[in-house]
Amino acid sequence: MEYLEAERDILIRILEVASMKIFFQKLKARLIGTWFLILCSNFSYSDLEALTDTHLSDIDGAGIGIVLEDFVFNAGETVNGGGTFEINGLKTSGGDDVTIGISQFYIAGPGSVQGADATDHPVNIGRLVNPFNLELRDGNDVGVTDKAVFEFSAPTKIKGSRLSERPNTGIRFDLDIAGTRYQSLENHIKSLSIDGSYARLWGGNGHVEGEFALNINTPEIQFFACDSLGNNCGDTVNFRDVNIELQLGFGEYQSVTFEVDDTGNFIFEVGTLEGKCSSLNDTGGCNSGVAAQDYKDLAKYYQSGPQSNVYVDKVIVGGQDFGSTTVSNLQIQYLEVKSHDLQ
Amino acid sequence: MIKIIIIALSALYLPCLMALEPLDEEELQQVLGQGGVYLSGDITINEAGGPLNIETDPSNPGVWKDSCISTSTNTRCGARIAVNAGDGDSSGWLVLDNIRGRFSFEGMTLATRTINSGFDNNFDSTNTDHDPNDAEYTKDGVAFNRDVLEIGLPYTIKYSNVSFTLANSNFARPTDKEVNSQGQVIAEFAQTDILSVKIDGDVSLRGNLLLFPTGNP
Repeated sequence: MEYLEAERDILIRILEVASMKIFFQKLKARLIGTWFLILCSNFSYSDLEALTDTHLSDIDGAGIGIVLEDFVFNAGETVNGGGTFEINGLKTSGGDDVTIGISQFYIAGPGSVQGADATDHPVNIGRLVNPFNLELRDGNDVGVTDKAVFEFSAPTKIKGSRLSERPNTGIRFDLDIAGTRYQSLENHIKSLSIDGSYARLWGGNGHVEGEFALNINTPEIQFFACDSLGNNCGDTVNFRDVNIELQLGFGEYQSVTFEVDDTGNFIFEVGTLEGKCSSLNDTGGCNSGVAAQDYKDLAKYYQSGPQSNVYVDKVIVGGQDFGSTTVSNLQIQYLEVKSHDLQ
Repeated sequence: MIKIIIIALSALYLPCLMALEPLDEEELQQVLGQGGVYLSGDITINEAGGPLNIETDPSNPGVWKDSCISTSTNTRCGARIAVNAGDGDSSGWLVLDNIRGRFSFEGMTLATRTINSGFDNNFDSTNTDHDPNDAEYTKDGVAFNRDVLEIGLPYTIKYSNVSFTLANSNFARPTDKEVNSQGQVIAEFAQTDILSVKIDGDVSLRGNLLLFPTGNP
């Protein structure tokens, strides 16, 4: 009997070892399977590739809308308990330091009484159905071939900002020359709308190029000067019903660039039209026969290219009406602004 | 014992076998999250000139040693951001230099919000531009009827000795210079400061910044 029991024990052990072997084999197979799955999933993540300009330029339509609700901005040396708010770096012709001390800079809603009651008059800036917009646009729609164009735009003019969405803004600043406070200047803009403005930026050949539009619409811009304490203010210069439409640049055809040269001075340039026509006729114009496409492009630029308009209904200085001012269809065909160091 | 191990191991693998299912809109609507986040912040940038300015370690030649108190005009004090917007060798840098000081705010909030009312035109009877009965002009909130990300602005931002300088320069850093193959310096660093701004005090910044997707993706 003892012999039989010993034999059974051995048999059971053999079976146990065999089942353990099967288990470990299964476990091994499973582990290999799991690792394979993990590796596969890793490979699927490693497929990220850079998007080319052509791919990016296909992106369309979706952007980020931005609206400011109940917004107030109020800063300066005479508000919020005082402080310092200065702009330095200017000098008089005699070499004295000029400091512009900003007494107040505000953006607030209607009823803010030239900033005197700014914090209690909030304003919505941008409409929910027509907000400020950040977007990556298809360059082909805006005159930039096969490139993605970054655009920041104000609400469009159609269904534009309503009266309650047009902020009052203004700045009061003092001039300090060599430590003495001389005069206080004030500028206030009522019910400002910049509807239709935009900035577009894209990559040129190794530098940033752009196209800009700035529209300003306001019933009143005021300028006046007061004494150093902000009292005894002088006559006001009033611009009533001001409409300004500025357009700079025309897609790739005439791009706007902002660069700094190797001496550390900035150059702001609106591209030239020189060389846009490959063949000139006897009178110096573009040859419509030989350079037909160039002629067509130039004609398009002159007819529907960028235009700037300024209209001021009334300019009133100290109560005297100077009448209206109109500048229309101003086309900037080349502009270069370059800074020069005086020191 | 073996059974227990097998069950335990298979339990480990089970989640892998279960398919992930998308939540539909109705189920998602039942999910209630936190109301939002309340943020307060206090940031100090380069108050003592920057991390490489160690005045107390004269034995280390790798660092520079200068006093960077708030009135210092040393161009190496403060943070610097230089951007090259041009092309070629003859291009320079747009610079935001000498960025330093302390900003602090309390009460900035982050939340999502559904807007389906409000944003009416506060119609002014003296304004004859628009028809007050035009629904498009009067009820923006109803027409919008969507979710937005709402960033509640912090009411007041405190600035202590915050300053920055707008400038242009020919090289990215004040220590850069152009050297020819013989080791002679051809061009030294040059920078034109356009203006400096200094703020010390409180700034009111109130309201909500609303962000939402636009267009037809």
